[in-house]
Amino acid sequence: MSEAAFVFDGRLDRTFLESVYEGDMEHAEMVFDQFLQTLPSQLSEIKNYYQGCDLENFRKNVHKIKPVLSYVGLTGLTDKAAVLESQCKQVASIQDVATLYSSFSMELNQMIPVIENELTRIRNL
Amino acid sequence: MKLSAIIVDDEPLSRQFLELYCAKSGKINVSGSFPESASALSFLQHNQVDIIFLDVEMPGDTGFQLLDKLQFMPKVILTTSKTDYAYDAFQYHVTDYLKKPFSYIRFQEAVNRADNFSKELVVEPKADDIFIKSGGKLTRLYYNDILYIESIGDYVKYCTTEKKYIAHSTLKAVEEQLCKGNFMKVHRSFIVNLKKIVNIEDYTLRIGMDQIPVSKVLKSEVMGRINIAV
Repeated sequence: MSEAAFVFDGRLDRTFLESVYEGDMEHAEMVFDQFLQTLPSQLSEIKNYYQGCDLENFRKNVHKIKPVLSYVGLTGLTDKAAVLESQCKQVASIQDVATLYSSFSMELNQMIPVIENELTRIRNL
Repeated sequence: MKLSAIIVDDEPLSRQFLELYCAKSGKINVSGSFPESASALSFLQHNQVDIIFLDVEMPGDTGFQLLDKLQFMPKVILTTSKTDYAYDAFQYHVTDYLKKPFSYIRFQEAVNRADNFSKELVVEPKADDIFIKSGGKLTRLYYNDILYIESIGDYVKYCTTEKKYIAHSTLKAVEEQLCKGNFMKVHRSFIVNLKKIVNIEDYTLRIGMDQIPVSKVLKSEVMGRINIAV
């Protein structure tokens, strides 16, 4: 299979991914790989700030992860992260964003196997 | 010739993305990639670059705070995931504003804009004089004789080595005509001939016996346009 023929998983934002990588699957492999390597520590940091009720640092880390999600085609989650970040500036307590955070986390965790599978497919090209 | 650039972003994947885009463009040589403002500032105190790809929200100083500390003003391409900084971007004269995540095509547009802007800066004025309407007649002023131009409501005052002329115009119109080569807007009410500056102290510069205010946001650009001994 040629590199240009690679079709990303339909659960990811194919249009965006194609505009970013333009068939450069070495670049895509590097990014998907690094995403999966760094994600656990980033999520753990966000969770720690949430549990420590540190709203400002929680917001900052959500802000930081926001564009990263799009790099692997999770543009919908980027939008959710943006809403979560925005809400953090409007609420008094971190508990006020509990539902949003829970929904964001759950959806992200569901998508991790999709990203892992995508990395395997790219590596097998 | 390739443009030199640095990347300042606390997010490693975002830095990596930019490094790869820069390499792919074939136009940009990345001199450094920094996770926060402090290390970038340290680098820029000893090195000049053409472009800074700059995130705004980072640990420590923000991207704008970094710009405040620079002694010269390269082209700035903001790379941020927020759109809230549009006004600041305007104030700091940034060349382009890339909202993360951005495509390679959008990146190329920003780089081309920076490249074209740098070419514009080295374009010399086509003429060495200008005719102004003052006191009911057209008077020729040689660029080399103009010290500065001050905005006074609906009028502008041309201060030359010999005398002062009042003309019905706006500083914006004068800026569009003169702000290439040696002339630069340093404050909302002043355009100066950079070759006529006697000294600069804090946010004031002296031309002849006149004190000219320099706006905070334009100070670093002024410093970048004059020849400072090292």
